[in-house]
Amino acid sequence: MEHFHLDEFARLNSPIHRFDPRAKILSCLVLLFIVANLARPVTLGVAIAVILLLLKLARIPVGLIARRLAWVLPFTGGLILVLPFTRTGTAVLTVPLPMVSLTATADGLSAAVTMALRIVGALLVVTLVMTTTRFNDFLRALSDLKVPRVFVQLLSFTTRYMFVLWDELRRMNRARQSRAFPNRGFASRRHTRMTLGHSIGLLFIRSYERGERVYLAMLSRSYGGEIRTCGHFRLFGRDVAGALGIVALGIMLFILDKGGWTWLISWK
Amino acid sequence: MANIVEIENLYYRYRDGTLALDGLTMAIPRGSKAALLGPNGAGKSTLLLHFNGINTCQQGVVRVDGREVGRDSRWVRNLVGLVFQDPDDQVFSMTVYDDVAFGPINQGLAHGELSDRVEWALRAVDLWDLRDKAPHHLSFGQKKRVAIAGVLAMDPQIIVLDEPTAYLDPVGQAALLQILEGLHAHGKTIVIATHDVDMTAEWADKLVVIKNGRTLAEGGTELLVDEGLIAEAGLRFPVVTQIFRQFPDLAGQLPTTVTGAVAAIRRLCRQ
Repeated sequence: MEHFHLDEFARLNSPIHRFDPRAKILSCLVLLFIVANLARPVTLGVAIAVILLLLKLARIPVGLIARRLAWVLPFTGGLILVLPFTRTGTAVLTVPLPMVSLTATADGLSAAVTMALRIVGALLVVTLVMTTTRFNDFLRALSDLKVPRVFVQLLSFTTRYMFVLWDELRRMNRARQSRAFPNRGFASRRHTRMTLGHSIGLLFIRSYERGERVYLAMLSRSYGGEIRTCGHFRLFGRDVAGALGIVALGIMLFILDKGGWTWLISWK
Repeated sequence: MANIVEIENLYYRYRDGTLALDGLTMAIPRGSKAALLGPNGAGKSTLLLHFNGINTCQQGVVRVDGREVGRDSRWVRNLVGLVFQDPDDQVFSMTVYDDVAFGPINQGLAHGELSDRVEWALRAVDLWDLRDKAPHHLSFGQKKRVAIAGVLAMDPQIIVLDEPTAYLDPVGQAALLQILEGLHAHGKTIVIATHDVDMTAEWADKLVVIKNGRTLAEGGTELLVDEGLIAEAGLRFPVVTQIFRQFPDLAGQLPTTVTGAVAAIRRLCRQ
């Protein structure tokens, strides 16, 4: 069956793609922390612009970036909508409701804008790393960076078997529909609820049994408790320079954000 | 040593109490193309897991290459490569190349030796060009070949395949049989578990018929025309044999393969 690609654009060729994954992950992690802590909309705007520029340099399509951003909207959208109403201060907008009236304040509004920009910025950093690194290289870089092996293996098995599970789920769904099972009217009928419940249970059991078989198959190939891989990354001067550049960008943003330009002006 | 695998009086009971193997005895000659033939639930898969020591003998003896497979069975996995029925059970890595390299790395191979071995195995199953692909973007037949390459890369003496042709399309089946033929020509012993009598008739030179965890018969493909055995084992005659059975007055010996049938028809025409 057809599956979506995790790293569709990771095979393109650009300076960002050629960037050593370990250096990329580490430096972007620093940048991520800094962007998530910037307080001024101006510096956040600069950060976002620079990261977008890097994404453009990596030739990542705008549509993909927009889709990635859209993914988090359900999670953060609510928070951003509520935030303006949670601060005290000058009222900007009042929403009259039957029982109470909600008041948005200027402080609250700017907090919401900052929060939204932080989320977008942080997400763009993650997008920059994940769309320009092949997933397998990403995992290998994590284990090179001494991320606990259990965690890396968990990520690897999850992504590998996510697709297998998804197929199984789709097959079960089709088989149900083939026997005239209505997928609508979810909660209204006991029969529907029971059927779906059983399907979920079955999926659990199948996954458990598959896990057992996967383990046996690994033992059959002399597995001894450790997954070792072949091939190693090579760190070049340009990787170090790139990493330092990204960290420097983060530090500059940080200084500017803390009011650095007034120091510069007063220094003259 | 004539037999590379010898099994004597093997019993195996699952934790839920099911008796899967009930005093099974069999032998596989070195360099043979052996088929373990039996209906579903005959105990074939359970038996295969004894070949490389994944299942340890509860009772009985398993000998591979003259050495008894005991509790410490690591050594036997270098000799016996087991290809599982569902390639998704076996192919777990994020790229084809990494998956094929998994076994040889566990064997302690590294650097040039490792990459040579992986490249050889991937070329043997004609997947070298797909080495950087993720398994979930491959077709079923391709995944099956990755699974075989993963076992080949460990350079085993015996290659054991559980239902190798199940779910494969005709082209995939032909490609698989060709791969097995090539390996056999390189001196490997090949064992398959199957209930496909037509493929067995065409391919195997040694047959072990199994039912309810016991060996019903051992021998060559002539077993496939034995009416009593076929009925008892819950199998059927090969299609070729079925046709010739309709003409009891014509055929002296029933053929089992297409070539055998062609020869028999030629003989009849000449008469």
